[in-house]
Amino acid sequence: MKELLARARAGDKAAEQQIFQYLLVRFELFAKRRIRDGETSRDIAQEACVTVLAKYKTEVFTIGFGPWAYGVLRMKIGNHIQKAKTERQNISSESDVDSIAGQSADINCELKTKLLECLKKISDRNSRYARVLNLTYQGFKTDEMCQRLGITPGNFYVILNRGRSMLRLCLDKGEV
Amino acid sequence: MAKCTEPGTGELLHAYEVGALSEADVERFEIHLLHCKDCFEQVRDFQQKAGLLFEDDEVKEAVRRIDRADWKRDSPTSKLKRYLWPHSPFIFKPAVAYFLVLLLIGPAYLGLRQGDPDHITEFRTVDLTGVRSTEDQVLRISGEPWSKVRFWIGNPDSSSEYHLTVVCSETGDTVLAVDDFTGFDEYGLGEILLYVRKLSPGRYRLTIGSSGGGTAPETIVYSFAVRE
Ligand SMILES: [Zn+2]
Repeated sequence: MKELLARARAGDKAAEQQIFQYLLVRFELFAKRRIRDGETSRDIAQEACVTVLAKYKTEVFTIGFGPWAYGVLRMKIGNHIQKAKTERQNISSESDVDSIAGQSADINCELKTKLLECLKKISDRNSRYARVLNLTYQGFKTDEMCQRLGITPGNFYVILNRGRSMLRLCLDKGEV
Repeated sequence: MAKCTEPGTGELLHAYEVGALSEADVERFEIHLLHCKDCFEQVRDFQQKAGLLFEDDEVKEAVRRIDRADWKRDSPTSKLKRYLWPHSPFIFKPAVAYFLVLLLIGPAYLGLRQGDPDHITEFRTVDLTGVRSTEDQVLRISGEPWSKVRFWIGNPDSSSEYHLTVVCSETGDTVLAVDDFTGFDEYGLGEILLYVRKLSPGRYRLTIGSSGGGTAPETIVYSFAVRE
């Protein structure tokens, strides 16, 4: 990235384009995790990338290019969420229902059925995975969950990552 | 395949995907994703599945049910049943395998028992890995002279040797110290044998730490009680 950035700063348009693409896929993923809607996320990610490219040549990065560019994205996401909140107060409940229905239609039913089967299978071998997920859904923070389970944060992440590996294997090959 | 550039942050991977991180850790992990190709590709490839775990109400409700059911069925017999029939009663393979092994070794075992009047006694096992009770696990001095103590360490580093100590919390006496423990199985479970008869009643701490080298995790402490 450093080398790419130096080339872009020296006027290399191809390098600049590469940075744009590199950031875009990542920014889109981060935005989608918070906003859910794919199209809006793409728009926000693009907007953030355009801002980054417009400013990176003159900006002094006290925290490094990556964290600075990430800050630009976070600001765009924050603005969007704020704007959406205000708009939601003004729109009718009818269109709210429409948007929720649209979202659930996107969900892959087959995948969900498979996922539920796999979660059941995994609990026979690794009951702590469902326990950790359940505590997460209840809104517990990492340290609270560790305290409840009597484990260290290191082990907490191990339980989750091991559950993830089992889930991937089960979804791909049907076995745990 | 690329390797994670910063494993300490990379370990947050699935916690990030399912929403188990604080906002500060989410930001730390996302900045990591900006330069770690390995983690980014893993998150991207698993995005749709992780999305269901992160926000789908039906999945969340199913996880709640699985967790609740798991709490209820944790008796030793049901554990054994689950071990023999891991998925459903219709998958008999492991059970059949165990039955065949019993058929083969059964006569030999009976022969051994007849020849030895003090036949083999199974050690009592105290399992410290359970998380469902805040009460101490108890070893009885009046029971069998030896007891097995079972513990769990997450992902043991096969290249590391572990340092194990059992210390009486009241007196500070070390009753067992092992410097080169490597006996963890693939699930991170380990066992030690304790001569309970010589122990004084009280609370004890089992401490497990890496003896250095490798990428073994931090120290883990279990506690148990010894009673008459
Ligand atoms: Zn990484």
